[in-house]
Amino acid sequence: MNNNRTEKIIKVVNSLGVHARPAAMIVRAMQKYDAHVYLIYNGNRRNAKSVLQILSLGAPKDSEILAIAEGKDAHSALQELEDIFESGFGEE
Amino acid sequence: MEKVYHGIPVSPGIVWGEALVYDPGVINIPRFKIKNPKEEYKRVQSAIDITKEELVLLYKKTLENFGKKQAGIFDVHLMLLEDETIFVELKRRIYEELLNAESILYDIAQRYAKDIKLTGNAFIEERTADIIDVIDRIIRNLLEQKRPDLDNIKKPCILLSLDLPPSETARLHPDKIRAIVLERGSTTSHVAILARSLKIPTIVGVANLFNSYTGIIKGAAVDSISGTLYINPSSDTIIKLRQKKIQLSRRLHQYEKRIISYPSQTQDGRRISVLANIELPNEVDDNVKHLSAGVGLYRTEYLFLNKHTPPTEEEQYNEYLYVAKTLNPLPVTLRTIDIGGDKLASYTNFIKEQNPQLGCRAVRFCLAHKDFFKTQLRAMLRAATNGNIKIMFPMISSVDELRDVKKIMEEVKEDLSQQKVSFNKNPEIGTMIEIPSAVLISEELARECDFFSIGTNDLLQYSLAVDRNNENIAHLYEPAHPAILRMLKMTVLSAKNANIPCSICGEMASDPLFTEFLIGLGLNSLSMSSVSIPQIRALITKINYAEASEFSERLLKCSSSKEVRSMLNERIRTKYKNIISIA
Repeated sequence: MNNNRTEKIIKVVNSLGVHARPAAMIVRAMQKYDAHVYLIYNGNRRNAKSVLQILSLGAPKDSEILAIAEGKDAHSALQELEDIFESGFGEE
Repeated sequence: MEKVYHGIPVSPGIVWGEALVYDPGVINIPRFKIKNPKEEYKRVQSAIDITKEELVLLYKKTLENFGKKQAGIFDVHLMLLEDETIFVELKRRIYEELLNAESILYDIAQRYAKDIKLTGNAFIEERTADIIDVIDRIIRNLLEQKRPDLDNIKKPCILLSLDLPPSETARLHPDKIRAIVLERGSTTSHVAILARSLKIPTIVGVANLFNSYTGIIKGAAVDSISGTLYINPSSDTIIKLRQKKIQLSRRLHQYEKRIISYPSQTQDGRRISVLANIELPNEVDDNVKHLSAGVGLYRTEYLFLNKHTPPTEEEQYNEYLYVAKTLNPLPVTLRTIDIGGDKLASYTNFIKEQNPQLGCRAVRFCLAHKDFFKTQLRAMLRAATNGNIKIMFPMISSVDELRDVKKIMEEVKEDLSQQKVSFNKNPEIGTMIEIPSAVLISEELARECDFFSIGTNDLLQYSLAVDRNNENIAHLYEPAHPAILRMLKMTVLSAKNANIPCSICGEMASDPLFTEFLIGLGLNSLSMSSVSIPQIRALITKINYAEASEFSERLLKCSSSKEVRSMLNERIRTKYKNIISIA
């Protein structure tokens, strides 16, 4: 089994932070991958495939989130995750 | 018999007719042991399937009627419904604890709502409503107690309710819902924001409403200019409201269109700045952007309420910066927090006070909690490198206090310099005049700050020794009291002598009854909630400054509030016929 593990620090750029709609975007994107994806913020580790868990991160604008992916497509999963955050979830 | 209720107007308009009490029904969550976990899990799965069908249908309907943006909420709700976190826990607990699904779901919703509140981010905090909303749907399907559907409303009506869950709010149709009156809610709640954009007249925060009525109320009237709900309005009330409505519809829309192209000045050319009072960045709406001369009062305390930890410097900085940038080059006046220790109890050592209104609040609290205060000042000074930010201090009662506050500000500036953090070295500093002692020493205070802002609500409460929330004496809370008028005069004069600007930001500033008097006193800056801006701006163009000064002088000679009121009413009746008083 190919067990890749990748980490990245991702910054929240949109002004409202990671609220419900962005959380839904993240989950929809991450569900495509086999890799387990976790977000760590403020000492809490949350599953990036759960809207509920992402919401409970409570990450506001400018916060830095550590993203970890484990699995054969870990690398591409984090790449897409980073792109989504960078786009500000299509908000301002 | 006519019954009158008061609340907070959040979207203006006047409507009367039939009202419907929307009662989603309180569901009692049963809690019992089950014998067959497999059966129980099957039961919950079928409830989830039904819920999913409901949500898909709602998504489609909303998409059709309102478009993608509003339908988006159901997309999020559907994802919550598929969230593995919820259902892994649900399944495990059904098998391990042999408890019924309703009670476990209820626990999960409450726990996550609490967790999210702990994160202390106001925008995300509001979203706990979504989680509770979705789980409520599943529980209702388990219990086979459907939520009454707002879509089933056939006849246009006024909607009365306790509160509206997000999924109901997203489907409010202005053709069917003529007005909304809620017992809960705030100016920044979802309903308020949406109602404003859909132009549905709305009042929130109406105490003791919901439990008093059920079903259909034949006669009701909503005046969301003043924030009044009438149940069984008398024919006199309807006549009054009809007049007000005619004037309003004739004027208001013209105002909004016309005003943009007119400078905000009196007939004889005296410029008057009409500014907005806000609590949260998302209140910077079109009225604020296009019709106001900036924000005259940004109540920063909202950021601190209902939190377990105080907002960080970054969080505060970002909020202030956003407003300053959005309105640049218009001024934004940030007021340091104006609440007492009781509201901040979760993160300070708070000792219960006998009399909080006369207790350790506003700058008193800040001077007693310097670190806390310094964090806010750091955020403000840093944000002030952008746009046009001013800073003002509430509840100043002496020169010493103003000096203490300024000293702390200097310390903060020094820290920032040493840390090589960029900040505005000299933003304008203002004093709120809202305590009688501050009025009496306003000459001295004026020499030590850059501007005054009169807070009439507190000035009234402290001068007249009246708690307006005490029903027995609420009638004594009288802005037309000669003492109040004279205190305003004195403050304006002190500012003038020291050559500093003076503005007014209490409710008096938004009451058309007082506009001519205030301008006549020499005030050239009025700050109010954005809803009132069009009307006050239109009124200003009808005022003649020379006449207003003369009128103010006469009013100041009155010896009783009755005399003042009758002169004000007479004036508005004869001179400004088309203007409507909110009082």
